[in-house]
Amino acid sequence: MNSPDAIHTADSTAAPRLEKSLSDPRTLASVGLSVITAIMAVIACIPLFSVLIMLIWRGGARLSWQLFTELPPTAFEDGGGFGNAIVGTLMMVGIAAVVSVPFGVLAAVFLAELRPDSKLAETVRFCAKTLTGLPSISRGSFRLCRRRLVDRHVFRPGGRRRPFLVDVADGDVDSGGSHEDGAGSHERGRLRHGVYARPGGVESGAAHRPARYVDGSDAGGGSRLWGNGAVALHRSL
Amino acid sequence: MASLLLDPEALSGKSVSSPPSSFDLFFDRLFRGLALAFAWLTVALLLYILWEIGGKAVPAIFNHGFAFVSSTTWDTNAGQFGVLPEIWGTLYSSLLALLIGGAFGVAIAIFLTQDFLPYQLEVVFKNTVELLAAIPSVVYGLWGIFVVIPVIRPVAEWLHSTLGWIPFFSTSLSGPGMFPASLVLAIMILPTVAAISRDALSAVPPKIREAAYGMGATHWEAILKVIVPTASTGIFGALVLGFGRALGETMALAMLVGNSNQLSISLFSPANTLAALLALNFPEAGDVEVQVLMYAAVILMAITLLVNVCGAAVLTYATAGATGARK
Repeated sequence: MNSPDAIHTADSTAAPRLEKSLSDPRTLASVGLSVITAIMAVIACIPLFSVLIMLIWRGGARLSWQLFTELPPTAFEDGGGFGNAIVGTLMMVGIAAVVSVPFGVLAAVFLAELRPDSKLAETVRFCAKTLTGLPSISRGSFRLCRRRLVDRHVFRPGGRRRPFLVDVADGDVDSGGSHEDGAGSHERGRLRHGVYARPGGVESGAAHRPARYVDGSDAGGGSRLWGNGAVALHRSL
Repeated sequence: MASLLLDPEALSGKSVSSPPSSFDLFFDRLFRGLALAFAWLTVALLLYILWEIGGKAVPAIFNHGFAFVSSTTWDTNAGQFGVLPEIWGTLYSSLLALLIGGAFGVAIAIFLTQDFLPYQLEVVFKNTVELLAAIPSVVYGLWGIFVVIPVIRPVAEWLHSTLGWIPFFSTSLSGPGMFPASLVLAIMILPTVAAISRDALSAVPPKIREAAYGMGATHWEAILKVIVPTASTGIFGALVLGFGRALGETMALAMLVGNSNQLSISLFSPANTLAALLALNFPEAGDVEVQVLMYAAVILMAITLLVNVCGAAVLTYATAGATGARK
């Protein structure tokens, strides 16, 4: 019973095989899928670098300080820059932020704090999602029709603050102001930018802040709403 | 604390806490009112936009009726307008983009949440993918023209010459076309899909995953049979949102899709989308054409709305049975 042979046979038959082996189809499938996923993730990063390299390769030679400060050249003239476009972009983004941040943030506070489960909140969430999905070109046609523009807000459900940048850039392209002459078009373009520049995910940010901060604010004697709103906003920033 | 309790002033009714002052109450009410007002404004804004665009489109809707949706000619001089090729192009390009971008987006989300990488590398990957969203649409258009089309042209030629009997490869790629457009579109929706799927996957409680490992599942068995199904509603939401974005994408498509009014299932033939049609025809449109374009905008919005409503309905239906597995 106690002979070494007996122990050896018991070991080899009863003890489970603990080390991984690629000959096991389950392990093989697992490793294979991991490799495929890693390759897909790397491939997905290629476009970013490809775009950067293309831009630098094709535009890098013209990069100079005057590019940022001077006006575009007239026909048959060298030099110049796009300083006006930079100033215009900054102004648009600034005004858009001023118009849209309070709108988005307050509506987000309503959704996350005031009545998160009400019918109205559900409707607002649906409308916000629809507005996000609304093609930018329809927003453009809307602007084209209506010469004065009412601001509108767009949440990005699940987004970060990142879409802020994205959407402003997005709006730049088809803001349509360029098709019209006169100072008015610039103004409208700026206002229309407000449509895009909602810092996304304010709602999700506000919803994710730890409840204890709000409770703490209540306990601290803050009036319920103001305390909640301020603390929640602070946390979600 | 003890000193506070023993403080004769505190005992005599003067305490550190006090009822909110009238200013506090006023501010409270103002804040509440503003939040409510802005919430309502969101709804009002959507309705207003629908009303505004719908109102402009009414004459065209009466003039052209259903023929607008079912005919394929767009001739401003003859007054004939039809957007069937554009509707087809919009849906086709978005579906292709969703197939490619969705697969990559979900794969990246899994790759970044299931302990494949050390934390620092995860952050690098996550930021790289999210930076894709920071590239303006028009730069993607340029990139498509200068990089994507030359790169895929030899592949497309080879596919057409050897596998030309398959309808998808039945035409040769002459430059802009459906496939390069869809490819760029896929890259544009990839960050959206990846970010939201990532949130959904990382919201799956670690307990569930550990239980799966404890039962003897391999890494991928746990992912595919336990974690992804648990996060499936969130991933589905990500795909719906990505599809919505793809439907409305304008500039890159206007530059890459070829703007040709034809119905073709071939990946390499030029096509058109509703958004590109609007972008390219608005600047020179006369009064009649503007009404027609508004009609096209209404159709585009109807498609977007339909996708959103269906998405919301499926989400509600899916979460109704499994309240524990939300997100």
